[in-house]
Amino acid sequence: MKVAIVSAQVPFVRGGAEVLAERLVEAVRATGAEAELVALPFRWHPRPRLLDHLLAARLWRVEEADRVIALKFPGYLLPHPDKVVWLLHQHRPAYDLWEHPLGGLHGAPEGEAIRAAVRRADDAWLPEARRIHTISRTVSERLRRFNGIESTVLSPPLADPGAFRAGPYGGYVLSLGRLTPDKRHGLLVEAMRHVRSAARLIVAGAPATAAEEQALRALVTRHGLQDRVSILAGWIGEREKAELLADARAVAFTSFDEDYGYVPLEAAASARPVIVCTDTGGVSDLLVRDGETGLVCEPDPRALAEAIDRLTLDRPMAERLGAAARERLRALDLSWERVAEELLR
Amino acid sequence: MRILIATTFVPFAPGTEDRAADALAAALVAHRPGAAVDRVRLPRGEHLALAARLTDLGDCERLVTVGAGAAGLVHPAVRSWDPGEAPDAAPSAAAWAPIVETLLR
Repeated sequence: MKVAIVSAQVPFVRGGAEVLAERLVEAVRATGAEAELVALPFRWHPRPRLLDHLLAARLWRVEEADRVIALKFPGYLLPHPDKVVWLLHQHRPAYDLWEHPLGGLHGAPEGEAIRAAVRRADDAWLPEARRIHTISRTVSERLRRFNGIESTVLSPPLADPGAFRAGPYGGYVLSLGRLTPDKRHGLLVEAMRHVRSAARLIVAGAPATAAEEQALRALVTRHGLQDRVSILAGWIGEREKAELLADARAVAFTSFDEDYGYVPLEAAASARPVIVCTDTGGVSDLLVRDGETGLVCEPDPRALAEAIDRLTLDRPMAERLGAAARERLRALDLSWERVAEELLR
Repeated sequence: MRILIATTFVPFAPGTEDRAADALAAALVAHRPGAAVDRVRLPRGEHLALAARLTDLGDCERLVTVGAGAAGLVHPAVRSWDPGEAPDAAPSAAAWAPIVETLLR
C-alpha cells in the first residue's frame, strides 16, 4: 500500500506540525506500507495569495498513492478517492480568530471575501474524506461549531518519548515554542515583574521574524529583567530541548487557544509540572489538572507570577505535580502504532 | 539570505532531480554559511503547470528551480538550474563553487 502524507509547508518554518508529519511517515512505514511526505507550499500573505494556494490545492494530484492522509489547510483540500483527514488545524483567521488581533483578516479590504471562500472550500471539500479525525477536542469543537462537521479525536503521541528524562528541579521556569505572539512568551516576561521568589525564566524557540525577537528582548530590557530572563532564540534541537526540560523547576505553556501543543507532553515525559492558562486549550485539556499535574491560571501576569512562585518556593509540590504529570501521560497510553492503524483502517 | 530550491517529483519514485537538488542544497549551505536553505517538492500531475503558477514562494531572496517541471514557478529572483550540470558523484567542494556563484549572482 502506498500512503501519501499530505501537509502544508511554509518554507523556512519548522514546528510541531512538521515533526508530527515526519513521525507519521515513520509510523506508517513501520506497518509495512510505503509512505511519502507531500508538503504543499503555502503562503497566506499578501492576503489574496491565500486564495491562489487554496485553488492550487485542488489542482495538485497524488494519483500514485492508494491512500492520502491529509493534515493541514490547504493540503486537506487535495482531491483523492481514498483520503482520510487527520486535522491539525483549519485556517483559523477565517474561523475562531476572525475578530481576534492574531487573525489579521478582519477589517482588511478583501478579508470578508477570503473568509467566505475558505469556509466554502472547507464546507464543500472536507466531507470528501472517508473519515475525519482531529488532533484534539479543541480542533473537533471548532469543526463542529463552524462547519457542522463531526470528527473523532486521535491524539498524537510524542515523536520520541524515550528522549526525555527527569533531572533535578532547578531554579528556572521554561517556556518553549516559536517566538510568535500566539505563544504569549511576552505574558510570561510581564509575569516576571511580579515574581517574588528567585525564579528565572528561560524562553527558547525560533523567532518567526527578527522583529518579534527584538520586541521580546525589548520587553525584557524595558522591565530591567535581563538578569532573570534568558531568551534562547533559534531552533532548539531535540537533545538540547530534553536537557532544558530535565533541569527546569516547571514548564510554562501559556499559548492562546492551541490546537494541540507538544510542550505539555514533553514536560510530562520529563516529570515537570506544567503551568497553563485557562484559555490555552489543546492537549493541556487532556493532561493538565490544576493542583494535580500542574497549575491552571488566568492569562494574567500576576496570576502567572503566583503560579511560578508556588512551584519555586515549594519544591516538594513541584516534584509531586511533575511525577503525577508523568503518570498521567503514561495512563493516556498514546501510541504511534495505534495512530497508524486508525489512519490506515 | 534565504534560498529556496524547488523541484518536481513523482511520489514513491525517487528521481535524479531530487537527488541533484539535495546535493545542491548541501553545497549552498557549505558555500554560504549563515544562509537559510530550504527545499520545496511539487508533486507532478496533470495540472502541475497551473498549480505551480498559482504557488507563491515569495518568502525567500532567491529561488532556484531544478528541472523543467519547476520552471513554471514565478519569483522576482529566480534562477533555473539544469541538474545535468551537477558535478559527478562525490564531487569536491571546489566543483560546486562556480555553480553556487552563478546561482547566487
